[in-house]
Amino acid sequence: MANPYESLPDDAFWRTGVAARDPLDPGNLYQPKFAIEPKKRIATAGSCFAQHVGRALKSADVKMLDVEPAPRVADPAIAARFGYGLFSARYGNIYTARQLLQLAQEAYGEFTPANAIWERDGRYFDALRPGVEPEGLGSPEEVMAHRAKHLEAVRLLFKRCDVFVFTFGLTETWCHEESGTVYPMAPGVIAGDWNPDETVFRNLTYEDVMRDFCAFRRLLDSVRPRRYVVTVSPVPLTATASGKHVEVATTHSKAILRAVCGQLAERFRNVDYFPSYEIITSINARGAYYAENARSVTTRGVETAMTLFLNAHGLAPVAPASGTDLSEDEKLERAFEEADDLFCDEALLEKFR
Amino acid sequence: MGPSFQILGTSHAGSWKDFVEGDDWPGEDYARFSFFSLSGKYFGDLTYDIETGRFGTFEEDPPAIVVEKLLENNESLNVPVDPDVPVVFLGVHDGREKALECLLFHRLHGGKEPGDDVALISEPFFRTVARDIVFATLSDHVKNFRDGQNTIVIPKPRRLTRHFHSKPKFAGLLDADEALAEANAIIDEIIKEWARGEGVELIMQPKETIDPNGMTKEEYRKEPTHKLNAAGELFEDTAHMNVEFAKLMIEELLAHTGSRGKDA
Repeated sequence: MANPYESLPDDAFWRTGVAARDPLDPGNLYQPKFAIEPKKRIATAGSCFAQHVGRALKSADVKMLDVEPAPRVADPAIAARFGYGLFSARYGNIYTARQLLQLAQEAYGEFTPANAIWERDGRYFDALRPGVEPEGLGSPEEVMAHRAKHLEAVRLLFKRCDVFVFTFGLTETWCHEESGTVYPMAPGVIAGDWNPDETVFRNLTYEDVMRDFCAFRRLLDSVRPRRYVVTVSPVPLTATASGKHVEVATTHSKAILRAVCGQLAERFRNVDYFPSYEIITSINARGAYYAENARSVTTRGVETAMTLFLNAHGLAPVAPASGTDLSEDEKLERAFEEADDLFCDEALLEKFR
Repeated sequence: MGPSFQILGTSHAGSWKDFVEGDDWPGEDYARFSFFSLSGKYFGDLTYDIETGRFGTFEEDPPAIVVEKLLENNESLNVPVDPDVPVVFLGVHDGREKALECLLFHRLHGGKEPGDDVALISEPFFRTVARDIVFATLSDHVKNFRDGQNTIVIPKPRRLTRHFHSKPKFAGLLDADEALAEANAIIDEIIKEWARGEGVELIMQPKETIDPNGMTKEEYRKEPTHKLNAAGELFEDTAHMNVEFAKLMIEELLAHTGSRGKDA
């Protein structure tokens, strides 16, 4: 008697596709929907995990865009503390699709954020990227001037990039109720002061995330069509304001983000999903890709995921050049390893427990 | 007869030597000076490539002279043994000046040309990177000469000057002169911080020599101390210190060590 499972490949079955696999072998979890050729210009954005994605791509034979690099005389580790070299522009962590959409709309003059400058001890911070200037700036005017230059760079990035890689991080966000402006961090964590009547907690729904990313894609494709690779960060929430247990809240958020990514890849020909989430969280890996804090992803985990991505696209990592290039790469590598959470605004929530 | 100073440094130390040995110097009533200078090429461990914007080392192109070796063999080089006061006179060949100028440019303009992919940098970022550069290069300089002695360090005789083109105020915040003044003040602070950490005495550049409040570039170029080239031909050197500058520096040094009152 014939049945539809008979002719399926081994990876369609859990026993042969997962349980029989070596725990640290990601198998063939990823088959790219489209090729990323070496000449294509790639941009990255997203949550903290997106920094790992960007770093892996930099080592590969692709053209990674960075429209706001630090001056070359700056030590890369210092530059990273100020938000340089982490993503394709100096926008800091973009945790939600809403934040991404808002950035694009602001860059094209379609949106003006409310309460965009936060203050702390007489210093002023860009509320939309509060972590990129750890000491803040001297005046609100200076913040606005730097933001204007940043948005100019973001427009350039959107114009240039052929492939946009976005790592979804969170559904939880803090929102200026009247204007709808969302911030990457709650006011009061890095700077500013939380006024509960003004800024409220929002946990974005599947529909919200889907709608926001579709609107972002539509906006960028109106500049010129391009391709997108979406991923979900496997890094759990540092803290939740949802009122639920953080583990339950994490699953809730990640399930929504994963479902949106799957749907985006199903619906649009120019969107592909890369399963970094599945690789790192795989039950078969038995937690081997997580650090002792059960949250941060280890270097080995990042390497495993990104090697799969690069191999699938035939983009072998390029051996570092000799001399000063090697030294700079090593410095940045070390900075990442020593202070993984340092460049992650959300990790600052740790200090409240 | 006053104390003996051994001035160690780059070509600027050589220029100072020309002044002390010239007619304008009143002699050894106040102090005895000996000089030891190397050309910039052989001085520091660090270089700065303006084209690539990277620091480099002499590893690929080793210097023909190693400073430590020279000092070990100082008798043959007529470097006095055990001077009362060793003074390191910091030069401009350590890559520091070029790097800081480059950094200042980014503070004011971002990229070198419109559309360059370089962000404007903030004052805190400028300060942090400048500190990193200054600490690395000054320590490198001083360790070449220091041998457990109390060492006086005089930072480079030139400050950052306005190499960038004029432009309207950046977003109404900062013009070129303001940026320059801010940068030089920051660098002075950093050098003082560095000196405290190294335990060296520091003599800052006399304020009378600092443009625009004191000596201007035109005045600096008058009466060069260095008047003859290696071939003994007349050579008006305007790249190093002039007579007035040298006098002020020496007065500052003598006053600092109590060898002579500044107004004497």
